[in-house]
Amino acid sequence: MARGISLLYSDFCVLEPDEFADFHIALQTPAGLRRWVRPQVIFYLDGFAPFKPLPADQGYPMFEWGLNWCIAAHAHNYLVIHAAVVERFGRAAILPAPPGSGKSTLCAGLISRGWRLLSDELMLLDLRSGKIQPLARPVNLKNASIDIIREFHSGAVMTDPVRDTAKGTVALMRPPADSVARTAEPALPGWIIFPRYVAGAPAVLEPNSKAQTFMRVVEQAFNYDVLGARGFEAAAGLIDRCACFEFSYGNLDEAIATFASLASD
Amino acid sequence: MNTKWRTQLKRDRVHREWDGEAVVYDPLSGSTHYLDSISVAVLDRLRAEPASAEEVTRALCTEFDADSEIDVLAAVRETLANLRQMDLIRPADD
Repeated sequence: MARGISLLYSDFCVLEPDEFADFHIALQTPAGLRRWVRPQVIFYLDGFAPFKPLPADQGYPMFEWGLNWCIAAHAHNYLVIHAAVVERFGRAAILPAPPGSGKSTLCAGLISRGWRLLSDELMLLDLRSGKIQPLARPVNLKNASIDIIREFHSGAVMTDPVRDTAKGTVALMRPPADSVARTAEPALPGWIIFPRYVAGAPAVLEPNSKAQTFMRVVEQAFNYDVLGARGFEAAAGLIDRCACFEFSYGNLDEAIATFASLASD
Repeated sequence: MNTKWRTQLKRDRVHREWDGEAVVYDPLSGSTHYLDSISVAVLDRLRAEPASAEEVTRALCTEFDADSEIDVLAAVRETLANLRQMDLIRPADD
């Protein structure tokens, strides 16, 4: 745990003990046999354990997933959407996607080529301003994407892979220092792009219907039902501001070139 | 059967339209609905005045210069059924 945090959060500042924090979390080994026999780890938020224990070697991924849950379940001053978000030239590209679509691989590729990371997993749309609040936490890579990104970006700093998790084999990649330094700088939305990795396929970007994009975006929203009409208005405002696309790709270099072309238009 | 339909006016319902399609949020049910272009066109007709499926069909065929009124009527009937299920329209004599 300590190794993972020091490796991936070295560019973040550490708060003083008496400073305000949104969430007070802990990861602990249980008492009794499970400290030694097939040891486990438990995630706590304010002394409450919302999840079942995981094997101890999954402690670091559990830390990241637990943080994601804290935000998705509680940050209702935002519309929280399951999406990667990257920014270039002042506009954010939002990549909403169910697991397995290749969004984290694409996100990792883009940030290794100059795009700012706002988030790999959770898009926070400010209900009042309509801007996107950065998180810039580590990028969660899974299975084949781990080696793809290692090969694509020789400077990538990652944890050792953790096997046999619910998501397969996972590794976390350190966010760029510049992205971390700019977490106080929200971004204006520019594009909503649904990515789909198809091995060997050429990069194809096709316009999408705004109304259909709206429905797919709110499907990926964790707290749309909680927010009610405010969530609807926030999502509709987002769609108003964005060009909407479907994107399939099979090669990261081509994908990045497509995004570069979009950003420079 | 020549049922006339009218839109359900609910003050709190919110909607947005882009390029002839729309999304509607119903705060009473918490549901959000997608409306394709024909649904939007049918609702626009019914907002103007209550109408039957046949009357809506004739109006749309004229507006869009459609070749086959039979095909349009089938689409309009299906759309009216969907809109009724979404609680966006009701029989005019209800």
